[in-house]
Amino acid sequence: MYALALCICLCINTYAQTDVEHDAITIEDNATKKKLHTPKVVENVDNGFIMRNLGGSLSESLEKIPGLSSISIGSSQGKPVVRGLGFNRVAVIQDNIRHEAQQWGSDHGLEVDQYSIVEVEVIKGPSSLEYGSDAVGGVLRLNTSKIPAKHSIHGSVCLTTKSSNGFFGGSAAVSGRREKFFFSVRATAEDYADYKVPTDYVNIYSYKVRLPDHRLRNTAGKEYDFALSGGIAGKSSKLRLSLSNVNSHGGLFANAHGLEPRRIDEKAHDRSSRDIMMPSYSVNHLKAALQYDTWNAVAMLTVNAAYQHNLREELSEYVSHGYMPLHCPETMQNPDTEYLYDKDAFSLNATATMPLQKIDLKIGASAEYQDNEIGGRCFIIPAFRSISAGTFTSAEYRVSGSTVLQAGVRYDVGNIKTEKYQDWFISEGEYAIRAEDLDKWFNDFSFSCGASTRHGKWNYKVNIAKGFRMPIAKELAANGVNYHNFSYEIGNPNLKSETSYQADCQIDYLSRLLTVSVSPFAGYFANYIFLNPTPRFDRLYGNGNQIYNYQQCKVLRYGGEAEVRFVADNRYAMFHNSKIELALNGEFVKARQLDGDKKGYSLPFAPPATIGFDANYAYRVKHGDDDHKKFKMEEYNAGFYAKQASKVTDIVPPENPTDGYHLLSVSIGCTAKISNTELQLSSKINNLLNTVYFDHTSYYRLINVPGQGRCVIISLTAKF
Amino acid sequence: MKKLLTIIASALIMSVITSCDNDDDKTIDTEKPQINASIDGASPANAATFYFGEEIPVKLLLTDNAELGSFSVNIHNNFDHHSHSTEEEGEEHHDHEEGEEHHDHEEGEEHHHHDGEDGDAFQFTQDYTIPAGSTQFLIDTKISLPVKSDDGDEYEGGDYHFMITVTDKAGFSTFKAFEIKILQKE
Repeated sequence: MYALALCICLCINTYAQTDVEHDAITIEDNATKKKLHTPKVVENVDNGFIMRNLGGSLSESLEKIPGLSSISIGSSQGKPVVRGLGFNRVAVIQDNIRHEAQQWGSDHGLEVDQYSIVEVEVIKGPSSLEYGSDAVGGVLRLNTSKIPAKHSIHGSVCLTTKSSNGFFGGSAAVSGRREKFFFSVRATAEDYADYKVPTDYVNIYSYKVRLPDHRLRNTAGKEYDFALSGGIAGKSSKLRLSLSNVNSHGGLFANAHGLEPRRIDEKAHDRSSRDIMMPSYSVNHLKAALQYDTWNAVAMLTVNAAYQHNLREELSEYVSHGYMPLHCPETMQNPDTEYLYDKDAFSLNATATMPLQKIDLKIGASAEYQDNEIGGRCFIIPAFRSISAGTFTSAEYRVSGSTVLQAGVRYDVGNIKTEKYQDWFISEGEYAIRAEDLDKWFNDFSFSCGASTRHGKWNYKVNIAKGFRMPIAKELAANGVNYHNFSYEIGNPNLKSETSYQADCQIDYLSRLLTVSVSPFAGYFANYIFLNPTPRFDRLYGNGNQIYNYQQCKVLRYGGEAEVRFVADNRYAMFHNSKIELALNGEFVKARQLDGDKKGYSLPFAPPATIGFDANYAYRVKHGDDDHKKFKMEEYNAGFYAKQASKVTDIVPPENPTDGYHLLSVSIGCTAKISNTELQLSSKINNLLNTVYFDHTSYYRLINVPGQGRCVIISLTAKF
Repeated sequence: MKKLLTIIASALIMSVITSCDNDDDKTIDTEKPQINASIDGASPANAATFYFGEEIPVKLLLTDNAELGSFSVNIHNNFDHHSHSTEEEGEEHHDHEEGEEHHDHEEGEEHHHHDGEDGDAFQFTQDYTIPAGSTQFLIDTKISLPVKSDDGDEYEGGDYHFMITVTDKAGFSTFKAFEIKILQKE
């Protein structure tokens, strides 16, 4: 049993580097066991996976996970999409606390330092039972905390460079522990230039935009992150305090941002590919958290509390939209601030787990408060305050050694109050009121039940769950032109909570050489909140832009993932020093709106069906026991990855159909040891053939910006 | 237990497969509406000249495979020459790094001034309805060009962009831009 689990774990973590933690192998083993054991369809990856597949953003780095894709924005930001659902339909839980950032725009990334992540768990399906609102499509669980072994000190330095956007980045961390006290410190810095696309020009709506030097004008940026944590790990309790800050500042593709571009100085923009001019964004995410775990023979209690502050500012030169004065009034403070969002979020949750004889009982509660102020000269969503609380109970019943039943229910209640907003300028004789005071209550039941069983080489699981999502301020009360999309967006105060049902199952076949996994699903939204493009224009409030309004509709979704993996390693004589791993996986998701204005259409940002083929070879250098050389080569490895994405014709206005494409990437690397320092050098070429392709789920797809061209990525990691 | 799970799993797979099969029972509109500027007497034409105090005749044919929605017209200055890719080849030497001012439709009433550096630029935004059920619609209207703005200043003559946007019922939209001159009569 142990050997089998270990074998699977090796398959999943191909080149699992001995992590900062020396007991890493046991952890992965448990993760794999857990993955097969839980009735939910989950995927687990570790830091090594992120580093091997390092993309511009965390969600890009995770794209290879079956069922996961990314809505990317430029070269460095992205949002995770689980089985075709993204944005607020995927809850991102970092160290047991929901990541709370701005919700209004679809062009924000995740304010997470991807170097800091030790483990990622993706739950594919509604998981409101444990995570409340937003976990309607899936959950991305990020773990950045690992407590080091007693009396140890570890450090790591990672340096990365990328050719397509002149990226230089690095992250350094030190962690250690005495008997009980532990600490960790990490600092990360990144700096990148305007990124390259394999085209001379792009057609943005009806405008032809030239791209000298193939660079996407003004998409350079920088990011500085730090994290600090410390605590006490005792025999029956553990306390961890952490403080982290993610700060990024970047340009927005100058021609894709809806500012009046007449006064843009093209020469100034193209003078340097590294400068950040307006339009730009800057975001700072501060998080302070406390994690407390205590356990005895009867129960285990986990308490998490956190404060998060997210400040996002979008800067652009003053432009008179609609009835705004032609010139910026001199009395206006910060005239370059187009939008400003300032959020404080307080979260608290507690879970008690009681292992009884055959049943593990879990009881939990959570509460959250958010206060979101707004600023800037343009308006799209009002300031709001929201509060929500929920409680759940779930039980896991071990029928036999290999069969588990799980079920649970949850109840949540939430309130959102949005603030009245009046324009600061006169439109047709009066100050237009764009948002009224709104006070809305929501409450929801959610549940999940499932079973898993292991039978020899086969593992089966099935799960049925209901999730929900309370409407956000944007959906309830938006009233303004989104100049990223040129859409005049109107909120709908009558929206109900979105509820989603999903049934899924997974069948795994696990043998020594081969693992096969198939996981189909079907889901249903009773009232999906959809931003519907209407055929109408609005002059008074929308400055002549097309009206988009929020509606709810029934949606059916289905799809699945399948994977075949072949691994041959030192368990076979002929591979005594080497390891070959071949994996073929495919995924697809389909969605249909069953009623409403867009009946018969899919959902926005539908990911294409993809097939991926991954081949990796590693050669391990054997050293004799008496080999005391200072420098030792440990491993050489090489990899090849091919991805075929299908054509996307299943679109919804205003999207364009997108052609299929295939991409190739190759990698080579090696690891070595100098005394106790482990060195890892890896290099990778993404989009090897410099293919011009369009990524249907790229934020810039609407304006015909192709995906990144050939990109060489080199990274060097040292760990001690 | 294993049997039960297998049955549930295969039922689920079957339901997925069957739902795949009857997937295409309803055809959806994925085509954008079209603006036809090559009809007889089409106006405005690229490089046409108009005068303040007169009118711009607008004659264009709108078509959609399913059903048209509505359309809107925007006229704004092009004093520093930016380019629209729907314009004829040869106009591209005007390329300028500019994108979307057609979206920055100025005020809602028919005629409004806009500041130039040293004069008032003419600005116009208006949206129009199309009878329900139309797959074709011939725009045949005139836009009058006042000599002076509401403030009494004469509009500045020069290069202007004439932008038309049409939507279809599904919510797709298409733009077309024309480079025209609007001049003050000597």
